[in-house]
Amino acid sequence: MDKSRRQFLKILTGTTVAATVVPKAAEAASANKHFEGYPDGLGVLHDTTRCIGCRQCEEACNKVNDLPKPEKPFSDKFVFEQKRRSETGVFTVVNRYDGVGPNGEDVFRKFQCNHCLEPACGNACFVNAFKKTKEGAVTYDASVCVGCRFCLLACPWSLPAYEYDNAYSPVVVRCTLCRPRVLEGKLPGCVEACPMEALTFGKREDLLKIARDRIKKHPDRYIDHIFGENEIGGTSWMYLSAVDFNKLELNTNVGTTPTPKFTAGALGAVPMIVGLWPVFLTGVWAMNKRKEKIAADEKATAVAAAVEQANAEADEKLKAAQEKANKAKEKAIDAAVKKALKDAEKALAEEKA
Amino acid sequence: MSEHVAVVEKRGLITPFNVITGLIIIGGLILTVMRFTGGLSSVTNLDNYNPWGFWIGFDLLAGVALAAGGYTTSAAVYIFGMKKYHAAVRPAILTGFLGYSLVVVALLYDVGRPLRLPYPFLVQQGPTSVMFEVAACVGLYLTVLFLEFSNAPLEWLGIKKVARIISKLTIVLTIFGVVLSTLHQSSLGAMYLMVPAKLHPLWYSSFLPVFFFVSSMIAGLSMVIFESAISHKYFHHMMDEEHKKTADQLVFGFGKAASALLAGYFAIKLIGVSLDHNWGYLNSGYGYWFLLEILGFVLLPCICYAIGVREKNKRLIQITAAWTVVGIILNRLNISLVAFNYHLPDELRYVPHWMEICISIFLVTLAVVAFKFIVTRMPIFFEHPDFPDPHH
Amino acid sequence: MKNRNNSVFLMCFGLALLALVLSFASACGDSDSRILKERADLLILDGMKIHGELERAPVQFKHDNHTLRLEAEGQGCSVCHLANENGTRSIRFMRIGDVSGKQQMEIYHNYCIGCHQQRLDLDKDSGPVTCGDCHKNDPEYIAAQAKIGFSKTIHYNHIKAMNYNCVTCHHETLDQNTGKPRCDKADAEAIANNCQPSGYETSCRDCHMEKAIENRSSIRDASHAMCIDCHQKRGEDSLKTGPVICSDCHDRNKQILFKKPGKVPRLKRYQPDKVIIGSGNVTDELNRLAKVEFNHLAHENAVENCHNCHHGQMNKCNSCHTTKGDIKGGRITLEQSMHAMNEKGSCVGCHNVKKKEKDCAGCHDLMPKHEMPKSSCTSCHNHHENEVLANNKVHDNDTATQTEDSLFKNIPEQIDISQLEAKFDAARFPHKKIILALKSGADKSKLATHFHGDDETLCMGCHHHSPKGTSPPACISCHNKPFDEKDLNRPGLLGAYHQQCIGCHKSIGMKNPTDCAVCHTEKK
Repeated sequence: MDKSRRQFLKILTGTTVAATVVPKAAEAASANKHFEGYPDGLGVLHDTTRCIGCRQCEEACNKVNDLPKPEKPFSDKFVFEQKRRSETGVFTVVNRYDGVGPNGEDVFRKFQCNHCLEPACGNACFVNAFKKTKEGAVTYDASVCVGCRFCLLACPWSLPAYEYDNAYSPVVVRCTLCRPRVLEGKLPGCVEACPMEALTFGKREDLLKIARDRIKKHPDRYIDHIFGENEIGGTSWMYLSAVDFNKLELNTNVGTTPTPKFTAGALGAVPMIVGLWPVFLTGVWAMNKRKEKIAADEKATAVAAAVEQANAEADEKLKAAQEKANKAKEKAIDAAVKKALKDAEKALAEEKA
Repeated sequence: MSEHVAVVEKRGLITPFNVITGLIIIGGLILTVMRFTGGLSSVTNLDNYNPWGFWIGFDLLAGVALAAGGYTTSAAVYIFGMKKYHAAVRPAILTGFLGYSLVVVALLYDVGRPLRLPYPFLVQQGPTSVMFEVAACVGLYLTVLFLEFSNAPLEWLGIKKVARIISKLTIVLTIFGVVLSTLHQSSLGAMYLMVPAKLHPLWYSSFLPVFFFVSSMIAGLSMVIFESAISHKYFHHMMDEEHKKTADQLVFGFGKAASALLAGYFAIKLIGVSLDHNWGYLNSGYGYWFLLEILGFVLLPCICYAIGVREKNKRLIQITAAWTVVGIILNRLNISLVAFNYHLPDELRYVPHWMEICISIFLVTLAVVAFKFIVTRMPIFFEHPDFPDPHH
Repeated sequence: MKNRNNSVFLMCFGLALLALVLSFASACGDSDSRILKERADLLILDGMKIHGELERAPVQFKHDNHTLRLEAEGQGCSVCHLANENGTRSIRFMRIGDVSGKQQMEIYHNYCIGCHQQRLDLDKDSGPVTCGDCHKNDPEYIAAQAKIGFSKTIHYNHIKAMNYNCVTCHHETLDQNTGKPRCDKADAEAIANNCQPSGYETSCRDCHMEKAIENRSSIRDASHAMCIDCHQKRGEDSLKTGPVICSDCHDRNKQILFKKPGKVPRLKRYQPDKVIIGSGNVTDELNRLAKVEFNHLAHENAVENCHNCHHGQMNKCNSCHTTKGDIKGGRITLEQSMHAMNEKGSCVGCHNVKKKEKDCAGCHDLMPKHEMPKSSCTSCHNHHENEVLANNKVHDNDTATQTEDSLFKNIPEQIDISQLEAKFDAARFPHKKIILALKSGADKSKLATHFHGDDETLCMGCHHHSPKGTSPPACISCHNKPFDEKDLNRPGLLGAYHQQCIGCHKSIGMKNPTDCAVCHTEKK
């Protein structure tokens, strides 16, 4: 019975560990919580109707983050011939979408990490390298990053990049919302540089109000939708557009469920499995053991009975054989005695003659 | 019953097997140096849209699924009391142990900073991540497998006391192993729950964890049958009487179980399609590929297994087992490479670099070589005369 | 043997399953996203709807195909369209009045299929004879009939061709039996019964509505019967005539080809030159705001079709759109009908459309569109109750009399904007040239000059959110640091300059509005 005690202790430890290790997941799984961002969390509103594709934002980001100088200068407009994305040494890019505007004009849009309210990358990282800060930025701690790239997989818009060329210390490459500058009271580099104020920086709740105000004042200029207000549970970087967002490669079919909710169910099941599965399996094992024992007992009983019966039969046989032998012996003795007497009589008769 | 003598034939080192594996290993070592001096981009086609490639799809996902024979066999024998499969436990555990070791080694190649692999346990935890749970369970399960396997080398080395202690732990390790396997097999599927917009609707389902878990059992059973068939061909001389006698029972018994599981798996896959109203997707390129996967690699083996068991056709079951293994690999590759990023234009899609495939072959070869080394020396296919099995 | 049976069974099973799943999938599958072709002559025959739910898909009928084919063979409309009692042609297929559902179906089937079959028997080109070929589930075309309104131009073409004989179309002017006028302009009762005094002919839509009422046909039926019949007859008499087949009227590309005789003389219907627009409630206490002096003549010249404003019947607006919102006016109140910002039929809405023209858009695009500037109310509501309109003149503003000397002599030729010099040199702003360009653009439009009132208003296009005057504030007076929490709507100086300048340049259609070098050179 020390085995079942061992089982019990194992279950207890297992459940405790699981309970301490997955509290967040279980919380997320609980029904009606909707995280609307930290109050006073900051964000950026990108008005694509104002963007003129001057790439000053790219240049500023490059300077502020000490990134390597690119091959082509930032004044080069031929880069727009191809769609670009973040990559090693490039946190943000502006892409041009030819002729998709309402009057057939080109539309420009800036790409960078959207700093979601419930970031998928943060949920995916198994060393907790991503943190959603109170200021609104999602920060990345390169000092613990193992390089598994689950964050690249999980991001619904595939925004982070990875330094595949770096053999010894590759890191994830993404916009930081210039948190160090923001903490000093400065503006993010791109926001400061934009001549058209296509990037508005402020508290997320204020940005939503501004966005709605703009849509109300210029209904002919904007699609009545703020991208990032609810997408994936809300992002800190939001967009306004004159055309369907999908035409600007802003995927609208990502839904409004924050990514952590997708795995909350599976993670929530872990303590259940840890708690119940060993009980069930031990139960099955115990039942089998019991079955075996009963089978063994029955076998032993049957064997014993059979042996006893065999012994009894053997005894009887022996007795019968012994009696027979006794009889035979007596018979033989009688016969021998008779023969001896006969012989003696014969010998006497011969002597007399 | 073990009047068995381990005959290790004395042959020269230049055998076809050794030559081929030797070349593969040399090539693999060269590629390894390239990988660790040149970075991931020097040997892979991974990019920022496709961060996970062939190593994750095949070595990790398929590898973990196929190594599931360990827990299924030991569960069958020790928990569900099916003693007739006892001879299959050690080979299955060995396959499982080598399989999981292969997974961990493949991770060393795939991860950007392999020396930091212990970080989630030692430095900072990210428990909101499904992958954290996978890592913890895989790590623990590798330990369990190692302990379960360790009996063989301990017996071989004659360390009696420790071997006996570990023997006594069998049932605990088995239960622990089943729990851990359930968790990490399903969690590998749960990882893909995070990307509904990136995974084709026919493969994406909220039941991915269930699909992965059930298919892992199927993979494990099939892999045991497959490995047993190969072993009986090449390591027949290492096997004791019990092994040879129970071989057929194993094939038919596991074949029956696999058939039932495949039928259930087929049903839940169809239910998964129906629940999300995805029938319309079947009438497309991806749809036909999905149909091929579930009709040709799930339904067909199910029926073939059933027929094989009913007609006592060992050959059919063994072929079906190999077919099923291919099907599981296909399923894992479908989810990680084919159906993933289905919405991206062709020029952004990922095709494995030939070096990635070579490194995978290299790793599998290492496992095969290790397998051969172990079974030709340690009591895997036979009982060591000093250590009669107390569970008999 | 057993093994072979098994493999055959397996194969059949597999194929059957595959077929089953594929057919299921194709039934539920997304239909092809084909681009449906547009046809102006496509009629969707779903008239059976009035008799109950349709059992089969509506038929897609290509009318012009039929007309042209029959015409080529020397046959006309009478093949399918029977003659009415009054000599006009029935618009319906092989019937005059309403019939029961069964009868309707039989008419279509007998005559359509019958004709098609006949032609097939004679080896001629024909149409479908089987159910599914007409009742197609996945149609190839969509009906795209462009609206054809009877614009001033088209009306003028007709009255010239008819020699000003209104009665030809305006049939309610003369009694058809006696030939005498049905009513005169004083006969209010008769007019209420839809007769049109000579000289007061009204629009067809006054009587013919969207749906038929008793024996009065719908506007669609009436216009087709009237127009096509007449065109057809004139064509037979080899006179200059109008379109007969669907696409010649309803295809936008063909509409462009209609004759445009240049300046069209004013349509004489005794309509007023100027109107005082009020709410219609003379004694209503609520009727306190100054009424609007409306220049009807100027507006007539500005639109192509009376229906732009008189969108239902040719009545006064407030006969249907009352203060409270009568059901006659679709519950649209008078205020809404005049001021709705985005409706082309309202005064403000139409003016907003005009503001999008290139001469106006530079300033007006940047202004918020959700409410009218309060100062503009009195531009319209300017009628003083006891004032007599001399010569029917309304208060017109005529800014074209203001000359360059009077207002603009103090405006600098060029301003060098240097407050933000960093990467670029000072921006060169040709101030005078721009304001003169704005003035010349505005002076072209009487709408603009009326509402602007005077030239100082033009300054407010850029010097906004400040009082009107000849020395407005500089941009930097209000625009400095960006993203001020207290007023996040106000851009910083950099944003203000670029949004204002580039915004205007984009709206007026300037080429390369975002070319930095046009305004400022990069510092070396």
